[in-house]
Amino acid sequence: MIPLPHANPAVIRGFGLGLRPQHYAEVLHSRPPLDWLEIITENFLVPGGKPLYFLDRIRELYPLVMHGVSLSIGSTAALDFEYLAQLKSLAKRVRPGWISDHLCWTGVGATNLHDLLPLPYTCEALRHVAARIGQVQDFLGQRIVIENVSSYVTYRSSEMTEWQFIAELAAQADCDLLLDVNNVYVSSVNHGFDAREFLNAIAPARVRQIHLAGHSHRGEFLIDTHDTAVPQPVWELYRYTAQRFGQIPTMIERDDNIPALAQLLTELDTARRIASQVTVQAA
Amino acid sequence: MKLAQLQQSFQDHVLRADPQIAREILGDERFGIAMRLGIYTDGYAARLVEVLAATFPAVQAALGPKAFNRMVAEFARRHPSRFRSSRAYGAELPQWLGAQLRRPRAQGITDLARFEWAVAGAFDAADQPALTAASLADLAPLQWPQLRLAYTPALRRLSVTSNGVAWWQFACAQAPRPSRWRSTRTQQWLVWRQELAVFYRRLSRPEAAVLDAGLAGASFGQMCEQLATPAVAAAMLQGWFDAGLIVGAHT
Repeated sequence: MIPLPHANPAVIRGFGLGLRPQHYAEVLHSRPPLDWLEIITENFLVPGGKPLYFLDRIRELYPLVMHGVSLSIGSTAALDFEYLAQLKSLAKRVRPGWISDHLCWTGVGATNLHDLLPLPYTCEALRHVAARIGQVQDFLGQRIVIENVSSYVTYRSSEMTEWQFIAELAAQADCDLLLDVNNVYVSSVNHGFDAREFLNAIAPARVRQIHLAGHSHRGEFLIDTHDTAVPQPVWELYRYTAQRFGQIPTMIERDDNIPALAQLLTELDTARRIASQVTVQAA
Repeated sequence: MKLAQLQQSFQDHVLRADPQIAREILGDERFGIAMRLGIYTDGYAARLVEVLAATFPAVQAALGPKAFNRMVAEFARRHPSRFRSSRAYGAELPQWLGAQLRRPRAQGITDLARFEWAVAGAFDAADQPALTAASLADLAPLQWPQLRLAYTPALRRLSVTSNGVAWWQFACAQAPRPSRWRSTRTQQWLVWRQELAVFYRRLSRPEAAVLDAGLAGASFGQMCEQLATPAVAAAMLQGWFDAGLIVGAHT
């Protein structure tokens, strides 16, 4: 089997941010010190207007990666090739470093719950998702990048751990991985596992990108809200992640309660500092 | 349980509180099954309320956040999204809200919501370069009656029978607060985007009739038959060109 190529990964290095509508104009006009930006695919699957106006201009200033929320790669509903055609068309316009989406399902029977719902870690689900990733990669003509999600439930039917499932999926489907360090942390607390054991199971060669984010608390339970600054336990886990995986393109992913761009840039400096310290330690 | 059955069961729980899925979930001494599943059911309603509040901020302001959240959460349960992008969700909300309320507020909220939906639709409708009136300068006088115009995809037409648009103007700080919800004679409104900005204006009855005929495919000659004089038609057409409504013309 000839490995599928990445779209244009060489240009994505260093530290980036998730591009949000609140910051489109400021990014375009102030050109903040970012190595790259991640766009939410669905924000630009629109016929026209402001979103595409800003996209075309920001595309000229920064390398971009595309991050989707509705591929629903784990669903037992049929793959939506109309969506995939739109995705491919947008990728032609954006020329992203890569295209990512989540290891989840979002609904069945034409319904979209607009949530990143967890899969059971079974051999059946593994075969199902690996086959669908293969179909998507063949259609897009490139390898895709799959992100771990936070989860709040464990299915009785699971036959392996989440990290075993992800590691095996990447190998079987020949896809790359986006590690969301916050999601690993949230799930580790909610399910009572060791986050480092999760990270140790992932092959470094598969990891293409890292997300950093925050969460909220419901008592001792953690909810993956991505609406706060990156908290200390996630920074600590990021330090370990950087030690294990090296210089992987890293970004802050803020989805709600969006702060000023300057605040996110300051937060990103913390990631830069931790990564540079890790490099020194490794040397 | 097979994957397909498990997903259907999970979805049924989120949408209809079907209890079957609970048997497939493990709880522990710290966090029970109901609490774990509740994250997903609560999250579903909260997410769609947030999506619809972003599309219908003036409706939310008019109803008040509490009533809006309650009604919209119920709408989300009864009308699950079938769209990849949450942005496309909400077309049925105006009529549904109207059915839940009493007159004359029902019609007012419906019209207000329809107006907001039109604004949202114009915002990211397809881009098409506008024609200028000068582009038709070479058209021979005899060709004008056969002329058919193409209109920007970012144009929305509405007929309303309440003061719902006045409530929208109030929410946007463009007009004082209406004293009450009330029914009105039919009002004709136009919402459109020119370049990146969304505009709206009230149409006279004749202009609305002529524009609707044009949108339905009538020739310029047929459209003019509804107007008093050619000068009125010329002025109307010039206004449409100036507003960027015309994107094509052919005979």
